[in-house]
Amino acid sequence: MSHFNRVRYESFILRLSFLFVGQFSLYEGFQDWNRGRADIHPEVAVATLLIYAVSLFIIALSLMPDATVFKLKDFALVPLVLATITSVYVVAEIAYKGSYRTDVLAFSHYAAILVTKGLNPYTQDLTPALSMFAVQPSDLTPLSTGNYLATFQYPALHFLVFVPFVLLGLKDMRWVLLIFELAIIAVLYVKCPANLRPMLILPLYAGSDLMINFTASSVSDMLWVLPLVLVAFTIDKKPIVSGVLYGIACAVKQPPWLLAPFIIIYLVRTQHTKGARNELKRVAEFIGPALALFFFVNLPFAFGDALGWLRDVVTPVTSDLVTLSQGPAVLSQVGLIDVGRAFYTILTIGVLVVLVTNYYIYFDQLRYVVWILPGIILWFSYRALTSYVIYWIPLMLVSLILWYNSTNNHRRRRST
Amino acid sequence: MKVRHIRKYFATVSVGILILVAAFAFANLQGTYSVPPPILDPNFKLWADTSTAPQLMVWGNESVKGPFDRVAINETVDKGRNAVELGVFQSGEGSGWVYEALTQTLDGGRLSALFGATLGLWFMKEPCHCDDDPFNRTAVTLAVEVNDGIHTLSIIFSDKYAGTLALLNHRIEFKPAPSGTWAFEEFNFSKEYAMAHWLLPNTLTFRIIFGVAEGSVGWHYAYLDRITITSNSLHSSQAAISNLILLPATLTSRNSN
Repeated sequence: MSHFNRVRYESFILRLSFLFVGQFSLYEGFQDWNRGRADIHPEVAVATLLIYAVSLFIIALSLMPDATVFKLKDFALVPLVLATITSVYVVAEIAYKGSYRTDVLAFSHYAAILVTKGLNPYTQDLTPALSMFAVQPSDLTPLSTGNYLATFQYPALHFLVFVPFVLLGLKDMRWVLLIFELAIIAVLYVKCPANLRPMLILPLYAGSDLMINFTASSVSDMLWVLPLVLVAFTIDKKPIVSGVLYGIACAVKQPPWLLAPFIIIYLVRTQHTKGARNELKRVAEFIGPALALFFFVNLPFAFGDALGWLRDVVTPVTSDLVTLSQGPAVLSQVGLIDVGRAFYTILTIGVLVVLVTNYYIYFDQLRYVVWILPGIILWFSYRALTSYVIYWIPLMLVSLILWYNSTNNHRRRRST
Repeated sequence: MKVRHIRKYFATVSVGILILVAAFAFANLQGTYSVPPPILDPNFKLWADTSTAPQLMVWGNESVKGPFDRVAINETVDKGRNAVELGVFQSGEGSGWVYEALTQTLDGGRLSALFGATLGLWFMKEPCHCDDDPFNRTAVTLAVEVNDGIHTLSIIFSDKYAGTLALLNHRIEFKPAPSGTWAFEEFNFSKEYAMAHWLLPNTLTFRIIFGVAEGSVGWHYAYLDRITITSNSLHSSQAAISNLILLPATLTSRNSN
């Protein structure tokens, strides 16, 4: 492609991105005006005015001369970030009146409070958190007995991350989730090749759930996505740092655990200096720090009651949670088929084995697909919620950047 | 050559094996879907601390009262049992009953589960005074009721009277239960619907109602310990075992704690 054509092509994509950003932000602005009752909340009125203004500006910008368009390309972040912050505020603080919409965040926040009082959350009844943060009955996690989950079911970093903010007096931990979310955007933006900005982050905004509604509803997965994004960017050149970051992700929540076999294959298959010893060394450089970090964070809480800690963190696998799925298990929920949890567990393990073995065999073709594979596996589980799948999208964007850089390097090497 | 062959067929073969394993598991695990629980928080454990009074978090709370009547729900312990205390103050001023009810609305899988199960309730009540006339001026009734929008089935825990009052869309059953001590009663709603020749509904409200007539002035209390849920298939096998050892099934379930 000639330089002239490439500029025209990039300019066209950039203009389309501006239109997308403008349209999305206008949509969110209108939603915020509506659900945030801009007629009685001055801060919402001012924020929606700003969103409308920058949205209209970027829509107009999409058909200005090339020089202006390229000069102001980073401006696309302004409406998106403004709309994100405003929408999270409006949904969390006005529509939900400050109440948490998941028991997970209520338990985590309460656990952080317990830690500041010198108590071990794994040995405490966490039900007071539900009324403390006004969690609705529909947002609780029922067991098949009709009782509800009332223990902490995640590794310790899931509440430790909130401890400094509890000490600072922060009342709503969704703002911490939002900080993680904005950090993810920043990392993706900075690491993205300049000519792919801002279009690379647009898939995050294909719908309001991932970046707005889920965070506003207290879904806490951004906490592990950020360290995993950094894992993906560092795994090739800094396996030890990457291992530490992977340990952090695993010490937050369980979904990153599913990546372990794929990462080991990745480390082995991308090893340029062949030989079993080198491969083993590279895997050890990654896994060692990951395990060390994971146990460093969790052991203090497992010391008093190791079995209790283990029972709690494997709750999603061992506990008798009710079937709830946006995956194949919905067929059982609706009564079309009559197979239960055991069937979906076999299916999930089967899919895991097939994907791991195929990833090894077809590594050259599947190398960059790795980050969505845990999402595919979890989709077959008896509990398969959209959040188990959708949070892998930022990781897929990292993979897209790495794939793009790799093909560019390859092309450059061939041309020289 | 071998590696190339493996690469050529591995994906197809592995997916084929997965499908076979899944098909085998599917065939052998038929009937294993465990339905969702019909009644949520059956042990009345989840309480919300509100600024005014404690409230059960999952259960709905309804009341009908006059301006001088009072209703209250409290968490309490009686003889080692954690219990819900339903309190009703009948002022006697005005001409109506005072009711307080805990409610849950069911549909979908939970409703199917309700009709596929036998529910039991551990409770403690005052004397009903309702054997002659359930709606007399001094009645103090604890009842379980299901209402599907068209039909209402009420099960009233009477003092001694056992019987059924069948109206067009309302069926009232009297089940004698002791007063002042913990008692256990079971209900099979699918059987009740079949006996009434009513079609099973798509939605239903389950209520535990405590009502005091206008003549019983003062505070009255009823206590609920927990609801037990036994799937009907399991229940019939339990009953069969009970019969086998020559014990009435109701006696065994009353004694089980």
